[in-house]
Amino acid sequence: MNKKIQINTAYLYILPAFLIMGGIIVYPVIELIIGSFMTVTGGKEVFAALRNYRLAFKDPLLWTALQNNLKLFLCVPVMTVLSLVIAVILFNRIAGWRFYRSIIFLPFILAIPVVGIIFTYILQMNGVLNTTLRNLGLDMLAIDWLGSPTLALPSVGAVIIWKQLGFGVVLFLARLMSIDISLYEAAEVDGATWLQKFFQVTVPQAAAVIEFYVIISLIDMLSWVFSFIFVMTAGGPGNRTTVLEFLIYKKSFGGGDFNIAMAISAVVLVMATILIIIHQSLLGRREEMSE
Amino acid sequence: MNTRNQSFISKLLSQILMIIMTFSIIMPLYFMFTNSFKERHQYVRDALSLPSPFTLQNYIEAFRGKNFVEWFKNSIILTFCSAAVTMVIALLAAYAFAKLHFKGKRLLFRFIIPLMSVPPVAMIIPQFRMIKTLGMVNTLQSVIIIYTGIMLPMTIYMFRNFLIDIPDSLLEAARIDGCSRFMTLIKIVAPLSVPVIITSSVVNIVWVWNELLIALVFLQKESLRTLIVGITLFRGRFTLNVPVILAGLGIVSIPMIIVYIFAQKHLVEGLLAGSVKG
Repeated sequence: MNKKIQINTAYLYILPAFLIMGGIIVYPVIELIIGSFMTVTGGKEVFAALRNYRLAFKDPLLWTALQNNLKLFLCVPVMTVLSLVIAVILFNRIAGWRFYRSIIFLPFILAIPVVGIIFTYILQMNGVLNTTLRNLGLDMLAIDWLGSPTLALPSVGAVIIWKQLGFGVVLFLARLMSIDISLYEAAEVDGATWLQKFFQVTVPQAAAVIEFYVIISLIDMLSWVFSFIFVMTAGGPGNRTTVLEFLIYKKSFGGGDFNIAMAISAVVLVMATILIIIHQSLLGRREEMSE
Repeated sequence: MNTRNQSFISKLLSQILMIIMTFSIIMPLYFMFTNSFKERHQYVRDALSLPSPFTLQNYIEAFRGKNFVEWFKNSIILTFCSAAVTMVIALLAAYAFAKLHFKGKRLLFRFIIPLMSVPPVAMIIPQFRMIKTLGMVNTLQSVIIIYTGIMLPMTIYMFRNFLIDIPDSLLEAARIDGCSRFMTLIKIVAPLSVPVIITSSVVNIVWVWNELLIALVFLQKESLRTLIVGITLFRGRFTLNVPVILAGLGIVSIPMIIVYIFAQKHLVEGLLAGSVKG
């Protein structure tokens, strides 16, 4: 009797959370998938099979956006290597490491629009960067960084790295601090150099965290860069920085076809899910290996 | 001697790299803050020097800007309410997952983890339709619920991992003293959970304060905008007066910089706790 009451109250505790998560996350995802196969004719939503996907993939803009997301993926190796190097330096307890750690994490707490607007002023044709370059006599390097078709996306990528780098550093540093010191001592006894210790102890020991970081950073580049683009370039010049998220935003809230936008969103969702599955299976294999 | 030289060189290189990094991080912030205290003509002439004369005029003007005070108020309401509602609901759920017994507990808990990684852009159109059907577009409540829903999975996950380490003997002692399940949560579990509550709230506060997409889509009325959305759109109208915009950006950033100074440890811990999932 007592047990029965206990079961009932336990469900009451999780009920509010599941109602809200169901309404805000699960229901929209299901709606999205259904909606991506529907179309509106005569004010009514009817089944349209693959119409939206066909139209979406026929649009060259989708391919441009997809390409731009994939180009942003190139930020990930840069961020991973840089944050690992910085984490190792801080881990060696160089003078001022705590100060450096606080500084590198600072951009992470600033809002993306704030960062984006500051960099827009710094990078524009007559911005601080170009003025400085001109003063140094490097006039030919003074370019409209965000307005140039070839440089706009790399410039946005650099700003993303500037903003996000701290997270990787803090993540890797935390992992390094939990590595068994005796592993390093053993390597030292064997006469390993700094570089050998890095590749033979640090990297293998931190492999799981590195994998995790790479995967979530890829997901970020796929589905978390809207604000940077919205603030800095609005997709321009000439769609050179239009990413999938921005395309979806434009199609859905700029007077486009909701259902096609949903089909594109579903593509993003599938890509993110594939990344998560890859991560999970890597984790699973690692666990098997350690067993 | 050789190894000592080597270690000196590696230390020197490390310091050089760290100084370059510090410089490249500080520079944009220096740009924002110094120019926000300059008169406009000085900004145009020289954007790198220190303000002379030093002026607070840009801040005054930013605050005088249309609706700026209202935006500030909206941001505070949204941040405070979303973080508080999330905390209460997550604590209830985490308590059940950590300390109560019910069928399907493991399965339901594992179901929460993938919810953390759903791209926001994949949810926004259906969310918008739903909120529209409910007649709740342009209400702060709708955004509070959406923020809560998005923050819940991570918050529950963190709370549960913390609560599971509270010794059962403490809870049993409370029961023997005649505390009900709920009173045990209020009197024993909640006070013990203060560290994780602070940690996750700091993470949530920073996230809500800085959020753009949802606030942009769901709060389209000028008087309901958040500070972040307001400042992002406001830039278009005052493009020429950069110092005023920089002052606005300063106002947006200062609360979070204060949070960072006082709660850096919590913030970092919170972000790390969420990242060991899987």
